[in-house]
Amino acid sequence: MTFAKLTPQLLIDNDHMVNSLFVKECRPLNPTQLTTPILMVHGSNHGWWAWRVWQPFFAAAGWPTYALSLRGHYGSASVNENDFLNLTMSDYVEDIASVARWLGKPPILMGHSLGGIVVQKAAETVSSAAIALIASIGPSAIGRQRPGPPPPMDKPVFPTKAEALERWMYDPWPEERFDQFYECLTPESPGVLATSGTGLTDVNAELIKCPVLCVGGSEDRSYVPKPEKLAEIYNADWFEQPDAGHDMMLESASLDVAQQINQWLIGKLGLDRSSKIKTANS
Amino acid sequence: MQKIPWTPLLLTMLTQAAATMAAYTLSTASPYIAPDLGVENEDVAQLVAVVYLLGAMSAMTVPPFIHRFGGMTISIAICVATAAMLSIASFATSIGILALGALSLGVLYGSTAPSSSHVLAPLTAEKRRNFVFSVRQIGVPLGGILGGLLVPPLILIGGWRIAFQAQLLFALVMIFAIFLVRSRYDQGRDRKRNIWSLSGPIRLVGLLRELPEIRPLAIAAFVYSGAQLCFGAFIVTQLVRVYGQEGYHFASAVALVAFQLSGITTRIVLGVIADSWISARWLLVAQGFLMTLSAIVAAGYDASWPYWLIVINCALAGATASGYTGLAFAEFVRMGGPTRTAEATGLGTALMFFGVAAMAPLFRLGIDIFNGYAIPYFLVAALTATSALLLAIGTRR
Repeated sequence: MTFAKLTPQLLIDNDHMVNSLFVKECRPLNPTQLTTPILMVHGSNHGWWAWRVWQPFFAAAGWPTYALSLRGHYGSASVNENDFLNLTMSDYVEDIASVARWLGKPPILMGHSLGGIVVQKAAETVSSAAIALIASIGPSAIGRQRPGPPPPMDKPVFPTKAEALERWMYDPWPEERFDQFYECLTPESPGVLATSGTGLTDVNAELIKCPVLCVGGSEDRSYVPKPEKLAEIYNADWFEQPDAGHDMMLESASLDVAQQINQWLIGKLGLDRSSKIKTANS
Repeated sequence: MQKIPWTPLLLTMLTQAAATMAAYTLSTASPYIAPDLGVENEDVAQLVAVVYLLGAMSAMTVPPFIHRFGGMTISIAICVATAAMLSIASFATSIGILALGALSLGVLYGSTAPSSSHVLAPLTAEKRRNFVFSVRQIGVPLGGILGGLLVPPLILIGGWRIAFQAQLLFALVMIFAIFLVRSRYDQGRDRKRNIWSLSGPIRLVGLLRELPEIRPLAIAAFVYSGAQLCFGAFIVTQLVRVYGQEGYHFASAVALVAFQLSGITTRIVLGVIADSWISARWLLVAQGFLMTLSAIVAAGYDASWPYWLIVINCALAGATASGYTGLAFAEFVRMGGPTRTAEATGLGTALMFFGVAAMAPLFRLGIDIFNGYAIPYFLVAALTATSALLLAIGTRR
């Protein structure tokens, strides 16, 4: 007898197209008290699939989760090349806003890397219940983060295998598994990269009223700021996960990080219908 | 998850059928009820309009109740309201008591689509959504056909009161059947939801502001449903005018059946097509233009025309004006997003009911003013073409 036979359906897994954006839904079959949706935003070159481990985790923990692919990325409608080259941060912010509108209630915004700075910018205008920034790029208040010159504007940005492995991965991934990961990557707009991590994206922290959590990986080899540095800007909570790289959602530290975030979210957003845990008097 | 949630789908579809059948019995049995109560036929038949108008109100106010108590619990309440209406009507000794029965059904009549959508949407895979909502919408014509087939013989056997009482069994079985599975499908209720605030209806209308893409669909729902009633309700009188008394038998026996049957079969076929090949939105656009064609043809009905041509046009009208509702509800669900299924479908239901309530009297007025059906049908054609065009423009964006 397998668990699947005993309880064949615990999670609902649906695909949606919302204003030409692909949104992967994963949520518990029977809704829990945790009704605030988590909206997950991937980083550069990635897609909704970057959350494929965390979505079932958070859904099993009770949260309805929605991972979007930004315009021109995996599963979403393609953008013609000229427009794609000239995309800006505000285009991605509009993507988040349109999916948040569709969700119908202020979500928890969870952004990774480039998705993190898009989330910070979006949170200025999009009503949100909480924000979790995972190995996130910071705003201009941190200064310039990306080393080297900006990418050339005449072609989409796509990392080589060696670059992707070096920048994003900490775990020693088997070649076959890494190839699968690499095949899922899509080109990134140089227009967006030119304003992210280069000290050109201002975020008005005063406009962000909800709780913020900054998460970093101790072994992150990309250029994103340390979580404590980012947390200072938003007066936020933070932690750094040992033995975790930049794409920590896909690595062996994945579930440990997710557990921490889940506990933080429950602490901030509450389980108000649960009984309090008490200690015996004796 | 690619399964179809058959249990809640069939239960909610039959709930819709039970409520519709009860409402239509007022119209079907009106020639027998009216003399007993000392009123005109039309006084009784008009109570159906009362049910629809109250239904539109209930569609707007029910979403908070659905969030608080669950969709299946509200479906039970709909069956209880249906049973109450049938009981009150069967003992009615005056038009006032009969109206009370109509009121008791009307207060929940518009809740069928929002409550069932709230249950079905999360359990339905996107690739099955159009099919599932099209099947759910069969409940309306099914109720109409059951009413048309079963009520006349019941009246002949035992009188109109028996016709109401016999349906009580259907409603009671539905209450029992839904009660058995209610707890399975009503989990995740929001026990803190305030059901008495005005924010419910305001939130519903607010969808039009928040979701610009829903506006053309809202207009189409209003116009298409109005057109549906113009086709369905006036076909008999129009054909009697065209063909004389011979037209009455033709219209009621063939043309109306072609309209209804085409509406049912098209719902299922279009649901499958929309899930697999052509998006529901473009199918709704195509239906709008075909509805326009059908209205233009209907404007020209003449005694020299062969019957088969009129039957084909009635089938076309049924396939479009009646067959569109499943796709429209699936689109309201899709656009409403995961947390506002009840609100989006409540909005859709209210607009459909208001469309029926507004366009039918205007069509009737047009017939009187222009002394015929041609110009009113041309006006219907203009409205359906315009709303299909708006839908097309909205879809292209």
